[in-house]
Amino acid sequence: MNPLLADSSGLAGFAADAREFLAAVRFARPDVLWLLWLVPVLGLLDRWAARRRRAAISRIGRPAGVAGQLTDPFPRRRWLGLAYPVGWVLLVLGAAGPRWGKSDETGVAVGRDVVVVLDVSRSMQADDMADPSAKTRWEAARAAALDLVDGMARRGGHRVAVVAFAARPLVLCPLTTDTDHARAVVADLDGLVPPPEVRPPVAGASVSGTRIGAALSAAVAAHDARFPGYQDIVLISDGDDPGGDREWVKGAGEARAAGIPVHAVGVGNPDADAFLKFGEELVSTRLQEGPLRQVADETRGQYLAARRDVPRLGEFFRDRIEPLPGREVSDESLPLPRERYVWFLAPALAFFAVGWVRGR
Amino acid sequence: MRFPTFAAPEFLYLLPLALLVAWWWAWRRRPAVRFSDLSLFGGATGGRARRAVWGGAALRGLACAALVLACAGPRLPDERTRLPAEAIAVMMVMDVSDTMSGKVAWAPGEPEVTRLEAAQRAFRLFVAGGRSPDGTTFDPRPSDQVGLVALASVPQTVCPLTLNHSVLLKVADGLKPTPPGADAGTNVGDAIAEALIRLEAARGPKTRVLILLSDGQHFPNEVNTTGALKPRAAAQLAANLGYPIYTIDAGPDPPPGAPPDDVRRQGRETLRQVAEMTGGRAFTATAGADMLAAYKQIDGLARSPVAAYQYRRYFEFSGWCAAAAVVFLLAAHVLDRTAWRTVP
Repeated sequence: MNPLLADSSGLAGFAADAREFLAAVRFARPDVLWLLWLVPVLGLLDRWAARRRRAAISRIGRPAGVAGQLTDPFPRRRWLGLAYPVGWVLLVLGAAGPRWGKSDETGVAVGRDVVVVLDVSRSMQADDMADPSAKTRWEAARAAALDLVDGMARRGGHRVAVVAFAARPLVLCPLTTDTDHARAVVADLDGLVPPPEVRPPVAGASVSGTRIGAALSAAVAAHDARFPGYQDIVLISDGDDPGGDREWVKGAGEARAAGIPVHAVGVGNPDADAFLKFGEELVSTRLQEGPLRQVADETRGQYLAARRDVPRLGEFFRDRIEPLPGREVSDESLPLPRERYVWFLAPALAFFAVGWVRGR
Repeated sequence: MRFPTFAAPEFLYLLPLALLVAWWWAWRRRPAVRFSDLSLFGGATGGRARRAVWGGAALRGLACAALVLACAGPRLPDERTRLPAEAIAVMMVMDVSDTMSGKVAWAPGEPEVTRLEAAQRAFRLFVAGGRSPDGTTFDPRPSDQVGLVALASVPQTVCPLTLNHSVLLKVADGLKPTPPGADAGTNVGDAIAEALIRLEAARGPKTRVLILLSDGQHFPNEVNTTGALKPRAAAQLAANLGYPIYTIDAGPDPPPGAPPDDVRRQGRETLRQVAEMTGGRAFTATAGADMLAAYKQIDGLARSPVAAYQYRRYFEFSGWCAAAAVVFLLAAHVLDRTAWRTVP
């Protein structure tokens, strides 16, 4: 076998390398490559102009005679005629945005971090909401959370995490910029069949089914410690903790210590009891705004009294949270192609400069 | 008003070149014809010749400036344009049933780990890259959409398909084996079906792959799951949809000379059959070299463009500058050969 054509060296190797390289080249604006047709078109124009020039000279005199009278400070060289076509090819290739290889720059997400805390305790099954499409509190809470995620997706760059809680908190989705992901997680949540992890650790234990404090602690832990000051917690609950032991104080204290405002959203009817059936027992529940207000005050957050309406959290996010300064995070190593236009535009400039100095 | 920054500001030193080019074009010595009688051309001096000289100079200067700017790469902060990625959808099914708390050797000379831990390590190798126990090096696959289904008695999607792998790995590392008890069971068939539903719902990627990390022992919980799909039936479903299933056995090797009804032997056989029926491959979690072959095979599959939730740092104006240069140069070139044509 011819050593020049041996694999991985010599001509065949070079050809393979070249093929591999060309397969890796991408153009940001491939349509611009159609402009390469300019090169032959301008060539034809050049020929036409040269003919018109000869015609003009022949009006002055015999072409050979006129040629003898020409003064040219820079005698033309044949190869200089190549400067413009080569310059044009390079310019068009450069304008099309060639890119290959991997860039050192990473993608970035600029925005705020929000942890949504959703109450899925039994009292959230009460159907004292005014909206016919979300009769129960948990449906209203879920609709509000989806609205919030959509509001965050509008501009993008924000990160959202989802925590559901009843007797115990459960991080359903860690902080992510993928709002589709968060949306799918929230949409999957069912208040009638909450995830088993939020049930009391021991079945039938006499622990309260609404532990707001533990949920807030989990939300604080779900935040990214690298970005203090860019964080918020949105708590959607009816505030109705049958435990009555002010358990939320500890969680609110943790949020305050971390400097994270908790925006509490109250859903339910504060003025009239709703009744729920637990087995044989009939239990009454109503929106308890007191604890929610105190959590918000304690942490310098806001209390949103949505009461019997679906809270409009998307609007709230856009008006109150989005305008605040954002952090910059680039955790995902999504490969970015390296821009190579300079490799084409700089030589194009050089070729055109040669053409201008020495030619027409 | 935000001012643009430059990707390569050193090119800006070339900006005076534009003036130089314009000056040269206006004042250079031109080719001429010696002719004894100027009266012939006396009436032809006028605006057009002057415009040709100054216009040609201006257009060339502007083109030069535009090209220099294009090389310097002017850009403004952007942060709102989502980055494109070329993705395939990979749905991982990870067994978290109680049998996965059994021990298995990962690397020779190291303490044994649980089967779940072995599966998690294989998962991490696959998504984030690294070195397997036999020294095979895996590259990360950052542009693939990966999701995760946890499998016990009831399958649960713990992470839908996402490009945010840092989140995915956090979720995967947080998985714990389910304790033996009322919820115990290994429902491989239904978990495959759940993953297939997620793959069907994938938007964007046309190539969809399923990876099953399990010890292959299918024991549906008869109390709370009736009518669970058998792994082979689920595999048939995947084969009909055209999604290959790659299986990674996280359990130990079956003892040599074990009878055909040995649990380990059956588990491995199930995984092999599932992979075979769907056109995938079966291998063990510690066999890095085998896994790399499948990894390469998946890499060779067709990718489709999807938008990532990462954002471009800058909006680049280099293309616009290059376009301006094209316009100026084209104008100069065409005018020089038509309205501004000179003789000789």
